[in-house]
Parts: sequence; structure tokens; C-alpha cells
Amino acid sequence: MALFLLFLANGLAYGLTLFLLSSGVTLIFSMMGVLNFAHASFYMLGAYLGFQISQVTGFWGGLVLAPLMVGVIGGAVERYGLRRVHAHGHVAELLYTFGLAFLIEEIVQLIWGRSAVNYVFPDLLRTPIFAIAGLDYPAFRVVMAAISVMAFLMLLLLLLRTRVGLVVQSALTHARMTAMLGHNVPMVFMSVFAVGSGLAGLAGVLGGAALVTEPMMAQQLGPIVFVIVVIGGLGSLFGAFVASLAVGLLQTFAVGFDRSLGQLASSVGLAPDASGNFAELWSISLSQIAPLLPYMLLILMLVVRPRGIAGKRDL
Amino acid sequence: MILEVKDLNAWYGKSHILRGVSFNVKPGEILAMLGRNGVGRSTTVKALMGDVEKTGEITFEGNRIDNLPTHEIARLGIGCVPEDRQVFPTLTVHQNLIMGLQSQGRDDGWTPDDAFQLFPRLAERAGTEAGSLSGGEQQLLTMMRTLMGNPKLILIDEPTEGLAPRMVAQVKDLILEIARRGTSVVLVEQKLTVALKIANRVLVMGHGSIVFEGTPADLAAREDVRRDYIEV
Ligand SMILES: Nc1ncnc2c1ncn2[C@@H]1O[C@H](COP(=O)(O)OP(=O)(O)O)[C@@H](O)[C@H]1O
Ligand SMILES: [Mg+2]
Repeated sequence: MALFLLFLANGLAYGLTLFLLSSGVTLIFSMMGVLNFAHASFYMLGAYLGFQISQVTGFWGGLVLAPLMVGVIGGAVERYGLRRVHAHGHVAELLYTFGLAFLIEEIVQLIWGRSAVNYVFPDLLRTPIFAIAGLDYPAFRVVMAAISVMAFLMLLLLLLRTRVGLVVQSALTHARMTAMLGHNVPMVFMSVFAVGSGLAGLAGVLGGAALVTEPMMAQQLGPIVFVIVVIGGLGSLFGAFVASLAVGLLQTFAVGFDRSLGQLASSVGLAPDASGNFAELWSISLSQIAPLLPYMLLILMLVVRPRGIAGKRDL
Repeated sequence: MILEVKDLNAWYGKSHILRGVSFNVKPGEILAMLGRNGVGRSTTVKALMGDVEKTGEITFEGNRIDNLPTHEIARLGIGCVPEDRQVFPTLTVHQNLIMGLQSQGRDDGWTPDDAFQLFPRLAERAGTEAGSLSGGEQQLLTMMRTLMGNPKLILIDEPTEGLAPRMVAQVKDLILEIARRGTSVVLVEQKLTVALKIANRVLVMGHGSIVFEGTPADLAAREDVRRDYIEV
């Protein structure tokens, strides 16, 4: 039971961090109508900039400054790149974000090298605040979850409770009408892109310090974020939220409760033949499957409910 | 003249839609723009709002606006109610009205309370999603929303299309009220009876250009124009 709670807490923290990423992809999708393939690269930039700044200011300076810098970079990418490419249609936009992802990866390798940099949370946050079943629960997981929840609540309040939020909501779905009412829609788009990138940067600082900061981190996380956005329903923040938590929990539990498929089958009353023709299959463990689970969920979702959890239309 | 349009040409991609449209709008008047479907009336409205590829000179209160982005044109005081009645469906009626407010609006201008007083039905539904309103209510809401910005000139594209007679009358009365409060109106209208009753002047468009300009009485006397360019 205690172990279950630990996994639950870990899964939620991971899921909330995933939501920092998927919320940005979702907002930007509503705006451009295409998935931003460079989004996970902003996550990586957040980690590396956080690392670099932390060398000078310590961890907390990086936590504040890196997301801001990534936000500014994101805004510039929209203002001077995407906005021009947009005139040439969705395919051009998609290719642009692809190119950007590769560009950022190359630049990161050029500056920080191919191997991981030593970016970790400060000692204060690494001390365990409690231990369950011999497993420590470090403070940073709580901090990660708290920061993610705060970012999400602020975003929600801004969107739902302010006039600026009304303008953003309207601009995302009815850009021309919104402009005709005197609102600077291009500026709104740039800001949405900047905020989305900044959130990815924030996730990068947290994820980079919690896991590993290396040039492959964007490529590894990117697909999972897209899976989340599709499962949640394209363009739906609420759906992205639910799907982020679902994927976070699913992966955490799969790794945590490490059983083989054979054991699982037995526990539901089947009697697999552990020495028969499918011996290899039955000996596969859940933690080996964990990385596949999001994609399996994606395929299942596309077959059963193509619009995702809360999407308004089928893919 | 509050608005002067000279030699306006407009394109969608390669198709050349407006071919040298020129006209003026006088302060405080209701100018009706008539013509058959597809002649380019909506395109003219879009061109004025900077929402379509175009050439030509557009002067509003003495200043050229043909190179400005849409939101700046709106901020100068040109409001637009497009033909597809774009309420923001997931926002409430009240939020829709708030979206129309502009910081530089006049003190004596239109307010959400005006909208609710004029149309009690909108007040009743103030807190509900605008997408759930009937077509006629959406039309009134869109017009009131644009009025929240207190435009000096308002472009209204086919406001009575598809509405029941009672709603048509309400829309007509609202347009008269808008003009009475000093806003100039360009009204694209299919229903001759409505247009001729409330307009001070009438433009008739043929294929991408203006083929007639005059008072409603002038048009009444020109059976040939009505036959060739309006009646179906
Ligand atoms: N978005 C568009 N893309 C391409 N052609 C269009 C578009 N909108 C209108 N048109 C064409 O432009 C012409 C004028 O249309 P429009 O200005 O809407 O006419 P009206 O409002 O007088 O009925 C029509 O032939 C129409 O088919
Ligand atoms: Mg039209």
C-alpha cells in the first residue's frame, strides 16, 4: 500500500511535468493548426540553459531565468520564422518545426557536447523527505509537482478569468473576427508561442535536473508528448491534462511493479507455459514494456475513439 | 466624407474579384450595397478591413488605411459585422460583449447595459454560451459586440439573412438606432424592401464593380438596373 502511494506520487509528478509540455503543444496546435515538432527542443533548451545559468547563480536562478529565456527564444521563432512560413501553408510550417528541432539539437551538441552534462537538483532538494519500503522520496519531486500545478493553475486563471484570456481563447478559434474587434492577433499568437515555449523550458529545467540533460532528451520525450496530445484530443487543454497524468502514472507503475507477463497472466487466472513455445514472450517484464505503453495507448485510442479524450473532432 | 475608396482591386489567389471599385461614405448616412450573390460585396467589406489581398486607395477620416493590419483599422473606428455571424460560441453572451470593448472608446458610447436594455433576451442569456443562441439572437449579439467598440463607421454584411420576419424587424430597427446615434453604416443587404426603406443611398454592384449609385428613389425609377443586377 505504501509502495502504491509512492508510485502514485511519482507518477503524478511525472505526469504533471509532461503536462507542462503538452499544454504548450496543445495551445500552439489550436493556434497554427499543426503540431510543433520543435516543442521538445525547447524542453531541452530549458535544461541546458538552466544548467548553464545554475553554474553562475545556483539552481534557483536557472529555474527562473531559463524558462524566461526559452520563452523569448520561442517568441522570436514565431515572430521572425513561423509567421512568414505560415503564409505558405501547413506543410511548410510542419517542415519548419522539423528543421528547427534538428537545428536546436545540433546547436546544443556544438555548445555542450554529445554527452550528458552534470545537472542535478541542489542538495537541499535531494534530501529525502520520507522513505517508503526502503525507497527514498526526494524533496524535488514535491517541488516539481508543486511548480507544475502552480504553472497550470496560473495558466487556467489567466485563460478563464481575465480579459486577456478571453482574447486568447477567441484568437485561437476565430482569429479574423478577433482582429476585427481591434485585438492585435499577431501579438497574441507570438505571446502564446512564447508562453508555450517558456512552459516547455520550465519542464526542461525540472526534467533535466531530475533525469538527465543530454542532446537526445528532446528526441526521447518528443514522441511521448505527441502521444499525449493525440490521446487527450487535439487542441484540448483538459484532455492534455488527463492524458498527461494517465501516461505519467501508466509508465511509473509499469516500471515500479516490475512483473513478467507470465506472472501477470497467472495472477488473472491464466496458466502460461513458461517453458513452451512462448517462453520468451512470458518472460518479458512490464518495465521492458513501459516505453511502449504510451504508443499502445495511442493506437488503442485511435481505433476506439479517434478524437481523443476531449477533442472536438476526429483526426 | 468619412470613407473614400478609390480604384479598389482584390484577389483570392489568382482570381481577380474586385475590379476598380470606387465609392464614398458620408458621415451619419446608411449606405446600402446591393447586388446578386457572388458579385463581390463581402469581398469589398473584407478589403476595407484589410482581410484580403488588394490594391487601391482607402482613406478613412483623411488618413490612408489600405496598408494597415486589421486590428489597427478596427482601432481607428471601423467596426465590422461579417456575413457569417461569428459569435465566439464557447464564450458567454456577456463575455462576447466584453470582447468588443476598446480602451479608447467614447464615454457616451455603447455599453453592455445598452445591449441588455435594448434586447432583454440577451440579458436573460447573459451567462450562457453564445453558441446556444438562435440565429437571430446571434446576429443581434454580433452587432452589439461590434458596437461596444463605438465605431464611427460600421460595415454590416447581410444581417437579415435567414432570419424570421420578427427578427428582421429588430435588426432593421437596430441599424436605424445605430445611425441615429451618429455612426455611419455600410449595409450589405439582399432584401430590397429592408434596404430601400432604411438607406439614405444605394450602391449596386455587378461583377466586381459598381454599376449604379443613387438614392432609393433613383433606384426605384431604374427598372433596368433592378432587372439586370438585382432581381433574380
Ligand atoms: N475565400 C474565397 N476564396 C476564393 N474565392 C472566393 C472566396 N470568397 C469569395 N470568393 C469568390 O469571390 C466572388 C465574390 O464573393 P463575395 O464577395 O462573397 O460575393 P457577395 O458577398 O457579393 O455574394 C465569388 O465569385 C466567390 O465565389
Ligand atoms: Mg456575401
